Amino acid sequence: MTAETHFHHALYVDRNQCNGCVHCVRVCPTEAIRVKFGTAMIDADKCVDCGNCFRVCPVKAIKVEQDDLGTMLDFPVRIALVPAVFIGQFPNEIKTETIYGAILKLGFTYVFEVEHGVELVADGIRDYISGNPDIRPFISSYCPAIIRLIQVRYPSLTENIVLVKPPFDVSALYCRKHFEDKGYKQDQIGVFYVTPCAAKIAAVKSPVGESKSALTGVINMDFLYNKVLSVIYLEHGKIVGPEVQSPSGPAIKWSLTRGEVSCTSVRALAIDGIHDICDFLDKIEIGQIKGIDFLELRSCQEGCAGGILTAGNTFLTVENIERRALLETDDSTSIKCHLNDYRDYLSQHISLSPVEPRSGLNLDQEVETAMAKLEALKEIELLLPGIDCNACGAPSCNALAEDIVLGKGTMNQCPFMELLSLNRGQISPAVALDHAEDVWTGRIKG
Amino acid sequence: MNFSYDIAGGDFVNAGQASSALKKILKSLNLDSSLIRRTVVSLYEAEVNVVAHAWSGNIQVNIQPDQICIVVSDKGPGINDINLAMQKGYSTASPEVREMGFGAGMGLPNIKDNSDVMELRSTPGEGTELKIVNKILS
Repeated sequence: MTAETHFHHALYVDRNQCNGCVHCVRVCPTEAIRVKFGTAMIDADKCVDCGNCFRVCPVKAIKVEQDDLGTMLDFPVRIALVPAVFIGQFPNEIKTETIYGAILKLGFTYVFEVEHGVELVADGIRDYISGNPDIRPFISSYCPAIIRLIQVRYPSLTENIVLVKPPFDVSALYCRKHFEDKGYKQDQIGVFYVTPCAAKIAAVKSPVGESKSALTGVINMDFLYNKVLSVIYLEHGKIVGPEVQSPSGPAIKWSLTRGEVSCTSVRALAIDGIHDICDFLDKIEIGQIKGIDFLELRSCQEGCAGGILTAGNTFLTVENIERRALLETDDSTSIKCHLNDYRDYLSQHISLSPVEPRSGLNLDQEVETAMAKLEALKEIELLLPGIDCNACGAPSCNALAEDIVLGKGTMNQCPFMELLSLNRGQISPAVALDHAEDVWTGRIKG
Repeated sequence: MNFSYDIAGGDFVNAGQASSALKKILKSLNLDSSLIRRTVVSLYEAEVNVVAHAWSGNIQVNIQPDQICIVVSDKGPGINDINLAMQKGYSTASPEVREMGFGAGMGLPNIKDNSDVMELRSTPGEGTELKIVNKILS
């Protein structure tokens, strides 16, 4: 069932900083995290790079990987592919030209806004929907965390994903082609995407639905935000930037919640927040919700404005983007296309190949063995207290029972079961302490 | 292995819970995803039928390595003419219920479309028993 065996993830745990609390364990939508030996561990087969763990970690022990910007200088052509959300991080008093100018001062040779690719994507989605009358509802391919969530938790819905590349992919293709036509070789062109989230890093490093990304690397948005603001302050705001050709109003708002929905004429729904999305997809999967043509699903609340690597306040960012979009639109329903010269080339390359399911939730490859494990799981679950206290390091009693049948956990991780064993004289207090140390290393014995 | 769920007639709010629970179980067994979808979609339609028409009901699920067998039995008014009930678009639902989005007459045909074997028995005035079997291909 699974096409890939290795998944690249942009999130990792800094073991020196992790204090073994279970905040991350509780919020993971695929139950991918366990605390063992005093530290959180992420199961690479289940992680979808949504970044919820990063958001809730009280000691900032969940890290997002960061490309070394030094390698950027290897490329004669250095393109910063900037999403509208990045511009929206800055107060409106800072002109877009100034931000572009600061990015160029940091060593890039060209700045291009991701949303220039939106019109082609919108056309691609429209064509895909009209070309596939048997599929309902269509699910947008925009958010890479959602694509991965569907691969892991909703494998039957992988065929509902619109196989059209998202705007950052299309714009990256355009940038490459544009400079190749100017005479540069492939390896002379570096396209760097400024990412608001970890999922887009994973999407660049281990793409789904394409063999290789058109992007060279990623720059984390919070990192570039600091750099750009530093340049602006150092230069006292007197940066002369290039003339900016903005994407259209609807394109600028594409990355926000309802950005896609407001550009479609079919019956469409926008949902943001990965847990609400799970609730909804559960209902879609059993056929409880019918009659929806298109689903825009974004892992973060308020869409990319709520990305974990954004620097500004989410709601101010939304307002900044909406205000900018108002200035850029004379006709709010049409999207201008700035990539017209390359329309044919990009349209030929806009398709994604089918998205394969990732079997992250099964107990065994063989049905019979899986059934035996499920029987055992149900029996273990009856013994456990059922209060989902997370003290064992698993997100729920059910998850611990699953770990036990998969050989990844033991009954004595549960402090209630340990008390029972102690009371029955089955183990000594010293052994119970040792067991507790297996989960909370350093917390019990000091 | 066996699972049992009860359904309360008239409880539209909770219709779908048994289907969701079964879906989670089937996913853990590494079954083909389209088989899972077909099975839970047919069970959901069956759940809604009980909620909409009957007074109370029960679902028995038996999973074997080669098949999933679901029996949904209810105490209720039963079906007078099963052949008529199986026709797409036929429904006894009142206009009010149809306005709520139910009673399109697609429930039983949808179950048939999504199952390998479907058997329907009913005693008018007493209740209905629906059996759905989906084969597991290895």
